[in-house]
Amino acid sequence: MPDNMPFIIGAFALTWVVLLGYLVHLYRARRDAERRLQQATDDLSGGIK
Amino acid sequence: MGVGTVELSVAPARARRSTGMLIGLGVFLLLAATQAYSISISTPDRDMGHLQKIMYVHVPAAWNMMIAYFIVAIASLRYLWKGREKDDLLAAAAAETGALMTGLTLALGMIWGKPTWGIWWTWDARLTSTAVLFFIYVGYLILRAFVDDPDRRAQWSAAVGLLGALNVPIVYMSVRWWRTLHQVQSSPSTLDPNYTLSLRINAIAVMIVVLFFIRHRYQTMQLEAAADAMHERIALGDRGGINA
Repeated sequence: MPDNMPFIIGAFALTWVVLLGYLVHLYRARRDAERRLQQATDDLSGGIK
Repeated sequence: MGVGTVELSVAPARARRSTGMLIGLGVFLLLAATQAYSISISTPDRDMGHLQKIMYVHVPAAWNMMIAYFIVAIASLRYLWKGREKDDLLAAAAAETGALMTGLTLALGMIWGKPTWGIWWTWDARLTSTAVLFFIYVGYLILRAFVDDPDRRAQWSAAVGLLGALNVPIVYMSVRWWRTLHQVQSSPSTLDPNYTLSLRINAIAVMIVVLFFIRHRYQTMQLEAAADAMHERIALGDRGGINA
């Protein structure tokens, strides 16, 4: 194993952690936004569907 | 100005989220495939050995942060010109993704710099100008979080977004203008063809990831803006006339 392997693995691992972490953040934010919009729609229509 | 005018329905948004999840899966599979291909075919560099492989994540992150800031600049200019909310939201979505990619570029550069230069960080022209770019866009995001008035937030954000984008050419040219520690840009003529193909396909894969992030964030911001607009109507006592 080359001496620099920890740096190489670290670089690729960091890239995936950051990108996947942001992906999870995006999906959570999207879900929250949909929930807020649904709540606002219900409030504005006074419960009429 | 047109801020606060977006109206969206929840059902189509949920359908778009499901489609987005599938697209996201495909995008990340593509990135994994390009990285696996590049790692498997790349021979060790004469000077750096296997460390050269960090190029396949560091350089695409840096190139694509510039693409994100280009989108910020265009959308900010369009907002200042036409005053449309969607341009403000697009600029904000691209700025968030750009800041993420800039932070990643800096971190990957540090990981590459330690075994190559013997140091994690130095006040080199490229590193310093990239750090300035990062902090400008972190400031942009903080500004958006702390300004409540949508019109004022959009105008100030557009100004900061454009100011930050002016720094991008400085970052790009810094290695030529100041000639400090960071190497000058590589080109197909200075790079082994074996590395060129791998670099290009990884850059394209990361670009698709970045565009996916921006699109997804933009759609979420539209939903948030629509919900805010509805809450404002509720606060003003307007009920009725909504098609859920």
